[in-house]
Amino acid sequence: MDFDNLVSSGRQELRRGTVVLACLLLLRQPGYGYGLLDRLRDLGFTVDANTLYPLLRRLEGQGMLASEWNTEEARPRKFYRTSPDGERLAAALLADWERVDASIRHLGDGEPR
Amino acid sequence: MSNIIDRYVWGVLRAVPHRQRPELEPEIRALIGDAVESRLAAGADPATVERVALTELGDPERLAARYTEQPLYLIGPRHFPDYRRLLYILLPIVVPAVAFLVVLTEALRGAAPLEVAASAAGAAVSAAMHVSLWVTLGFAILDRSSWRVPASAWTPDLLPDLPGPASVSKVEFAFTLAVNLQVIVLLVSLVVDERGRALLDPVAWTWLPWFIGVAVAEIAFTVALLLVGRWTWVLAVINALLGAAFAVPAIWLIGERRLLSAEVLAEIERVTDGAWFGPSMTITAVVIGAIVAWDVLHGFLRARRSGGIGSALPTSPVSTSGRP
Repeated sequence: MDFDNLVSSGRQELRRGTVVLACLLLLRQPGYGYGLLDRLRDLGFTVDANTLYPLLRRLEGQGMLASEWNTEEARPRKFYRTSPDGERLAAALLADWERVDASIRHLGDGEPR
Repeated sequence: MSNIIDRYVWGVLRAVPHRQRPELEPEIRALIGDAVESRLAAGADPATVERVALTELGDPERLAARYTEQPLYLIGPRHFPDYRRLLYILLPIVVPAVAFLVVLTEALRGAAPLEVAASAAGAAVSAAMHVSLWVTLGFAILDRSSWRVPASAWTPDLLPDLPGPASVSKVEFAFTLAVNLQVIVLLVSLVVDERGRALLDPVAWTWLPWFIGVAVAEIAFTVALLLVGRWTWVLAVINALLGAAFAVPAIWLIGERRLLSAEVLAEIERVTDGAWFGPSMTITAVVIGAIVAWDVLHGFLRARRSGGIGSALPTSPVSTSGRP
């Protein structure tokens, strides 16, 4: 495996766990599946459609997201929004993310360049 | 809605429990619709846009499995080590046992040697398939069951023993030496006092020097094994050749009724009414074959063990424990 492959697989590992948090944060503003996929990709998350949609549905089943069908537009779309429980989960994960970030930064700063 | 989208939606739904279908269908259609629409807005070719969107969503069965959180494997990592351990324990016991029983019953039935071998091979294959199938099926069900059976807990007590540096035991050496010396004494005494001529069939009589030679060679081999200190591939091959040198003529003599002289056979038949002499000879031949086959296999297994892990370990167990 060459270096570029190592970088991309390491990056994928790093981001895998962050997709849930990113969804919970993004869906404070209601959004639908495909739109969310687009925005995640614009933000640099490489997530597959067939991974994201089942993930949204799982989070909904766990009560972290609320959903509602919007039938006002030409085609009906299922809109998701982060629920109060989802907000609490997002806050907990965000705090953890910040701790990890601080630790990693600390390690990075201690390293001579 | 065009045909391939309907087919895709059906491909997902049919892999999903009935009660989830009505809920899931509009959702999947909506996200396919969004994907198609946004690609058209970006200037994609209307003729191929649906295909591209569906290709991006991927295999419908995979999507359905993600929705229903069903595993896409037969036996998952939680139970796989137990599964493999059980197969490794069962197969080496069940398959040879079945083969042995088939050889025994077929030989007692008086089947031809080739027929016996074919039946045994067939039974061994079908025993291996049965064990594999039922163990695999059992673990696959266990893996999918809702009771979430925990994998057996691992403790350091389960660690395998290290193969010792000298894997030839002195007890084994003494045993082989004693058995072969007795065989030599017996056979030589048969030759020396001419008792053998009356006892043995003329054909078996001519084979006596051969068997004495094989027994001497066995002793030489055992000494060599003790000197080398461990089984090697060369020693395992020599062991197999010696085993064949004994078993093939011995089984042939028994099978062809060329072991004992006509007088002795008549005497035995008179005493026993001839009822169980044939079967007992057959059993003897099968047991000889089984013991020699096991011995040959054992030699190769030991050679693999001492050549494999034993030499791969850089230091002895005592010295590895203390140092970093």
